[in-house]
Amino acid sequence: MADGQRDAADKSDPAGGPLPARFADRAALADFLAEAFPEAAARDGRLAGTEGGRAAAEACLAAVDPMAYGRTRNHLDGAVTRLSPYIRHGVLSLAEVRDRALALVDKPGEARKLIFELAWRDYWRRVYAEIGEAGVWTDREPYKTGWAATDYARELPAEIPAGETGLVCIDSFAEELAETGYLHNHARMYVAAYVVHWRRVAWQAGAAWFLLHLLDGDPASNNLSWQWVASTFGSKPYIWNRENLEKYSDGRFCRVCPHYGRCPFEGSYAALAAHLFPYRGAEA
Amino acid sequence: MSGNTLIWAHDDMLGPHQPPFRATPEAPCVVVLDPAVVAARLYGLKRLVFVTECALALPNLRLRKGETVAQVLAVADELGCARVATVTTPCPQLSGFMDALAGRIELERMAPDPFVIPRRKLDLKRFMRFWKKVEDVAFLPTHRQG
Ligand SMILES: Cc1cc2nc3c(=O)[nH]c(=O)nc-3n(C[C@H](O)[C@H](O)[C@H](O)COP(=O)(O)OP(=O)(O)OC[C@H]3O[C@@H](n4cnc5c(N)ncnc54)[C@H](O)[C@@H]3O)c2cc1C
Repeated sequence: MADGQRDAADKSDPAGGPLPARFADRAALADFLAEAFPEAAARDGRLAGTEGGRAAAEACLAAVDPMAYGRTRNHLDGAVTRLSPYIRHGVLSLAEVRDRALALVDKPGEARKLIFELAWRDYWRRVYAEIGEAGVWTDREPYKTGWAATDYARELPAEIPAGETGLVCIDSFAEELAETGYLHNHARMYVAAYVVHWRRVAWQAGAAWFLLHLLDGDPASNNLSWQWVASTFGSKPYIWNRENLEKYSDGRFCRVCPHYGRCPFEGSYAALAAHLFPYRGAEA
Repeated sequence: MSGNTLIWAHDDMLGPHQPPFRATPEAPCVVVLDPAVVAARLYGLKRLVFVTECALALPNLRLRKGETVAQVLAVADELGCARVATVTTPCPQLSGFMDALAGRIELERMAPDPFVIPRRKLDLKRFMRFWKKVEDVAFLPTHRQG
């Protein structure tokens, strides 16, 4: 930390007061914040590469390609925007992103997929406005898995956030989340389904883990998406299989996974559902 | 007017194009890193750095640490601002700070820029029900909303 900043920090009242509005560089800012907020640094002491602020947000917005997005967004290497931390903190508005997307296409329908996804965020925010903080942490509806809420463990097994399950896909996603503060939407769905349906852990434990790391962490989009995967805010649980992961990752995890061919995600959707939800009645 | 206004930019409005910045571009702004918010939102260091970088890019910034309401009032007092402007949010914690501020100083709560201005009554039971009600307007640029 530069001397000037050190002085300003030392002079500031530990209980509160002015903070410097300029830092020599990112490392100086991080050092300063780690000292000023030791509890936050103890929760997660890593730094992500994504830079905050309007200029960085505009650079990200300039790279948006709505047509490529529409074609490839489900693929883990697809042309997703990575705008979420900027949208989450109001550095960019959903309207601005929509307007930019429309300006880049001949017909509005060519930006359909992107605008549809932006609407998800608007929807979750509106639900949050209605049900509040306690509401987003509470099951909106019963699980549709055949299991009762009490069948789900309250704590996240330590090996999941530590990236030590032995499953290359899940461990890689856990590492990427902690390292970058970001996961592709499909990866979030894979991980959430693994936590809730394969490990039978209450979605709240997984949601809290994500919030600790995601730069876009949001009580509305995060918790309600976890509930959607869990089926407490949706008509059926979301599950996936190895074939689906291989398709959307070009097999990069499976190729090097020692569990290939006998992993917990092996099999048809019907077979996996029968195994994961043995007490659920006949599929509606 | 702007000489008299302090913009309180909270966690959900850390961009320089938010309505209060457009309304009073010369106004000073305050961002408070509040340990209560940091704890409630489970922020770790990487998030705190990101949020602070967003704040540091705002114009005419006063960055503070401490209890939000007390710090906003302290900055308003220091700069002789009789009025605070901010943006509404669904976050109950931040809305609570707004209620507390409103009892102490003139507070203008501006609406955020809407994504859609629905023309029909919304149904929030499921996303697809919501989407059916807003699909027509979602594809209109902002200047054609409303
Ligand atoms: C378990 C789980 C947890 C999630 N937690 C969060 C969260 O805390 N914060 C968050 O912003 N999103 C969350 N999402 C939604 C989605 O995964 C992210 O918004 C998206 O992956 C962000 O990456 P992007 O900006 O590259 O998205 P893009 O695909 O490029 O989408 C553009 C923008 O649209 C919005 N968006 C896209 N998909 C969704 C969606 N399904 N729900 C809500 N908004 C969407 C985001 O603002 C995003 O930045 C979660 C999804 C799941 C399944």
